[in-house]
Amino acid sequence: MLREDYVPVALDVWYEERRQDEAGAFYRALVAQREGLRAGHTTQGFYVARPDGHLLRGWNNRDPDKLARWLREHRKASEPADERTTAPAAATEVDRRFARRLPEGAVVADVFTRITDAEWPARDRGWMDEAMRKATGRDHLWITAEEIAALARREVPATLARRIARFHLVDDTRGEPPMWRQGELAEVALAFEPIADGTAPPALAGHARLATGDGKRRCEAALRGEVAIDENGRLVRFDLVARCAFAGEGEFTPHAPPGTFTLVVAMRLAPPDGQDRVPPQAARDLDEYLRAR
Amino acid sequence: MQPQLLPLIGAAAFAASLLAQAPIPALSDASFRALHAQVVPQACETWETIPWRVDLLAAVREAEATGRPLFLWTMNGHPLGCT
Repeated sequence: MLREDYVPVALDVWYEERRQDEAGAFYRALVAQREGLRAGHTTQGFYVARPDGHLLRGWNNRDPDKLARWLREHRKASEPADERTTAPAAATEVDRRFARRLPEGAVVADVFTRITDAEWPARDRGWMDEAMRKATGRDHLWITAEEIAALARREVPATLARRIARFHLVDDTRGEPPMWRQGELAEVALAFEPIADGTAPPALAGHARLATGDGKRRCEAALRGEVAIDENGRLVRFDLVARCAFAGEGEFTPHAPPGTFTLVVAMRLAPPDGQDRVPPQAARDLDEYLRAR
Repeated sequence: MQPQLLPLIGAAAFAASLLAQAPIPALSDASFRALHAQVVPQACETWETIPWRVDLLAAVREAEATGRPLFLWTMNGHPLGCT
């Protein structure tokens, strides 16, 4: 139904609520029509709208039956509007402060996160607990051209190791995770292993330790991976696993397992399916993400 | 001892305790392969098969051209990435 009857769009509200350009104005005018939306509160949710910006329905509820019912109800409802109100112009100036573009020559890795071992408490939230405890977190890692050139020399740049540790060894299985601050990275080591023979792909190994100042959120990770670069210097394989002894949660990731649990982060090069156009979560602060101090 | 020094000393002691902890057990090659296979999805979930657009204005123009309504899925953190 979404494929044939709608133009489906997925957006991060952090960008859309802030950008001062045509797209941002269109978004804000559209969501402002949602019944019950309170000023200053998140605009996340689902919206069905005509292309002129007239909202047909907006809601923030994950009930799948409600979603299906309202999608069926509105799929034929895109008659031309009586008058155009908020339709954007064809060509617009983009607010560069909120534009995120993959750096020239960089590649994208998919990042998947899952809790594989935990002492979960007794269930108290029904299907929500069931879904959250089995959930896979998703993000993207950007690897710059300079970092790829270093990997080709069998060197792991400190920026890449720190970026992985601070921005990707996070528990994003239940929502937006807090990233690790610069001072919370106690230690990260990631290096190529000595070549055992000529047949195996070059292997990476290392570890990382991170903790908040109060020790309530912490991560000790063992890392291992394989990297391959072709004769043209292109990164053609980047498989990495971090097995983390993790504890704690963030403001937007409540209901973590109590105590220490096993969080596994796994990476691979992203297939060219379009979703790699989504920037890393931590790229909201792009300079910090790339420099990863 | 001045009270304002206590938090600093506490933080330093905590950082030192982190560094003094036992070595983190290394991941074997077999564990690496098993965990990678376990956590990287082997098949697309239904929502991943939807051709999501990530450019709002381009989607609006497409909706205008094809006479279809827009369906927006918006999250704090990108729905196709980190939410």
